[in-house]
Amino acid sequence: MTERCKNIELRLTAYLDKELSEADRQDVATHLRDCEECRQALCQLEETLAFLKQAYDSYPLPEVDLDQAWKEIEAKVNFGPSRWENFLELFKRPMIWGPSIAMAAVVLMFFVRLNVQDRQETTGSVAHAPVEKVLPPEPEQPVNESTDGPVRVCQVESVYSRSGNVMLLQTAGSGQPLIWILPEKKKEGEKS
Amino acid sequence: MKIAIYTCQALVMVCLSFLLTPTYILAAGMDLQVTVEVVKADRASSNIDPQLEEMVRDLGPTLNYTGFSLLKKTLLNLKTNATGDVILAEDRTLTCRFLGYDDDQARLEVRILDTGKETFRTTLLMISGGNVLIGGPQFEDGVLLLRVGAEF
Repeated sequence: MTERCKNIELRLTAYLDKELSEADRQDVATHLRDCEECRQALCQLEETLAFLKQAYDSYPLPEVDLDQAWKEIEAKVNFGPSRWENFLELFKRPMIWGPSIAMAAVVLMFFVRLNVQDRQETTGSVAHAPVEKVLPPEPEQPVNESTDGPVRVCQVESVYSRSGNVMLLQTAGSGQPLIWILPEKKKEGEKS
Repeated sequence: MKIAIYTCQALVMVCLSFLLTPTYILAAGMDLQVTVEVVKADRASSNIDPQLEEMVRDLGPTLNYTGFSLLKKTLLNLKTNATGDVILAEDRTLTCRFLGYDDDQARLEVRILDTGKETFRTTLLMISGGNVLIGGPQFEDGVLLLRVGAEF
């Protein structure tokens, strides 16, 4: 095979695909008219291409979702979403925003409860059950000068006596409640 | 990552339960220890039982009695809504019923029954270590003085 034949052989594929310029196509065509060897090479190439085409046509190509494929490629090329996007993505999940809201509610209720307790201590808004018998007003809580606040004592919520006479007193020392049940009043004319 | 999420969720639920639970519910499983001392006070004597010296000092001049003797001391362990009885003299019974906790106080209902009939009833808000005195029922030549204390 001459040098010219080698040069023509390199351009045979492009010649068959009609990818050569007009000048190159004329040059190859002129050589093929005179060279038996190059014509045989061209025939072999045509047979090979025909065989390959037949093989491709026998097996249909699978359908590809190109949009999804591009997204996957972009995701891989861009190494996934940014850290900020990942962080925002977390709050779209109920497993994340649920506990977050619960924790915020816990903190809020903690401060509300503290606030309510403070108000109750300052205004004395502690509910008492209704007293069944009229009693003297609650004695003042004794104040211990050595401490910052009054000494805590037990409280009488309600009192009932069949005799109808009850006194509510306070011990002189600790100020603890003292309930004194008075005897029933004897009716006039009743023997003692 | 999932383990961390579940752990946070569990911690939040535990904190939430603790904060939302009132104190008396948390203490609801605790028994109330009630001490009832039955004392006879009279003016005929000037003997003061040594175990009652503190009570007599606390009373001061509130009551005009000179003699104090301890007749009985009973300890009751009460669960919520449970009742404990202390037999006083002369067919009289003192009944204590624990009604439950109210914040840091225990609500206690005290009744005195005379031959089965209620003659006295009071509802007390007890603090731990606190005492309430109930007196006046006639007994022999004096009166009965009942000291009701609570520990929880």
